Amino acid sequence: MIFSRIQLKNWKNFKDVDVQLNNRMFVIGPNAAGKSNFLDVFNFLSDVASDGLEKAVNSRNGVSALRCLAARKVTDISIKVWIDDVWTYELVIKGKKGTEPRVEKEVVRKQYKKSSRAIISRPDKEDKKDSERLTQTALEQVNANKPFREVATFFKTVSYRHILPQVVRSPRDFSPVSVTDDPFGRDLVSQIWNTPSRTRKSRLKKINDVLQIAVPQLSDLTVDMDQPTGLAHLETRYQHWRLHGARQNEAAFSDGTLRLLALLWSLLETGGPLLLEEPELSLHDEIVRQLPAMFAKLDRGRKRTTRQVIISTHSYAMLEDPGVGPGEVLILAPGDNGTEVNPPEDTDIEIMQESGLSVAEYLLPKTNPHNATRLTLFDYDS
Amino acid sequence: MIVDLVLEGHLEEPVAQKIVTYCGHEIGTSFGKKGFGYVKKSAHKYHSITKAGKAVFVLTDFMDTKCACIVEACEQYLTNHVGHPNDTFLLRFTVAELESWLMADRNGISNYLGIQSNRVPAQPDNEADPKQTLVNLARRSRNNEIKRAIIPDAKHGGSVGPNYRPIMQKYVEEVWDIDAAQQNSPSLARCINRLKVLD
Repeated sequence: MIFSRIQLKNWKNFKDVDVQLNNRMFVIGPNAAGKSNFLDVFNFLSDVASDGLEKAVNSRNGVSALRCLAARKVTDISIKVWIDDVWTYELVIKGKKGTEPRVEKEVVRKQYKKSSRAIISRPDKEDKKDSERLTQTALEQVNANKPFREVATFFKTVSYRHILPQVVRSPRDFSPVSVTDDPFGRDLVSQIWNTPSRTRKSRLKKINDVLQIAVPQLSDLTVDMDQPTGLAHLETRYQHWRLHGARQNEAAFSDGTLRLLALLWSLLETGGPLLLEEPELSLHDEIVRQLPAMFAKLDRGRKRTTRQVIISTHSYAMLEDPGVGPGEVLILAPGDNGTEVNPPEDTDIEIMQESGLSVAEYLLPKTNPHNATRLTLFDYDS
Repeated sequence: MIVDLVLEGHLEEPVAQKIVTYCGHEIGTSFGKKGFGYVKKSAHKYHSITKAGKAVFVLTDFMDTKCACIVEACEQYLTNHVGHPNDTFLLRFTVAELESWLMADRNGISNYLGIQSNRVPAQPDNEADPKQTLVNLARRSRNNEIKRAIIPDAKHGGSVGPNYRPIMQKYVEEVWDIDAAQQNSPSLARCINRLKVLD
């Protein structure tokens, strides 16, 4: 299943967004345009489905932090997603600063052959009798979401990855306990350890093969449990002047090695939409050039097993791939009315098709910050 | 008219933008900036943009083309690929390279570098290696900041100093006088005449 379209009103940087989504999407735009906030909306739906509306909102610092500064009059936050063009899920949240979030509207529709039908439409009679009910979504309640369980389950499978190597190396310095969804890779190593052994071995072998090419001095990747501490560790053999090299664990891996390893692991995992935040970080351009094709492999040609991947990136090397089409790109453009999210314009698509210019050559420059070159005139003297 | 730019390097950007504005047009997107090899190989692809009603101004050094004349360079870069280009596609070469145009404002550059104006070549288009000429002019500067920025450290092996681009960009934006420069650089004057008649 994939998100096939999304509409946002008043969500973070975005006053008004309505875009179609494909299996593989690259989100580009200048710094602070809201790329992460755009990815976060999918994660938010996942959090609502798993932990409930209140927790999902509070973990993002409350409703007022979710609202768009550019939308001065509207206070409701509205999210509507289409799933495989079959389901639509719409959630409108009302909330004033300091109060708990409330469901203003929650509608789930299913498309049948000829018409669509509302499976849930709130507020309903019960909600009117007991307004306390509006503090929870139907999505988060197993009893209420039964008629659209498929949707709730799909939301829960969304995973967001923004691996921070330092967190992988010293998870306990980052947080003494596990973090929900583990976006930064705190529990990456123990997750690998806890994977059933056959699956784990097969995945590690695949990762090993890639690491051999990217980091030739590393080989023989394994995961092991350190009995005295009860912590799992990754280990590789590091080739050097000694005949058999030395064993090295994740604490000694470079940023690039850790990021690549974590990226490969998340690609091999089964699950729903994968949100990747700048996967090019710390990687050599030659490796980055291979990433789009690796992402494309998540599209298995079948609806049930295809994983959607939504990637935020600034990388020229990644978008230089002629296999990345303009239909797979969303451009974020900040303005006085919040950030706009748009696919490339028709004229731009025509130009690209006629000229053979890649997304990197033609679309990426359009997101360049004006006057970036002036940064070097930065004066250190006070 | 909106003019998109296809540029050899980063220092070409403020130069091209200033020229486009001077000629009464609106600055569009800057493409390229990945060296002369990229412009040579790919500039012709940007011709498609002209069909969408925008102009394209390609700016690159003649020196690096290794061509005997501009006509030959135009064939290699453009007409071999697209046949008859639209009038709104401007492929312009700086002769011999960008620094010729920058030195062509002799008063401006001599004041900026802190040297005597008669040291600056009177016909910078004819310089064999204009960037080297500019670096050599900076060696005579009385201004230490300029010297540190522009003159390469022999130990590092670069052709220019570590702050060459920003210090020259500042010159382009704040000092460089196009009127004065086109008096001394025929290739700049031709480029400006061509841009002015663009519509």
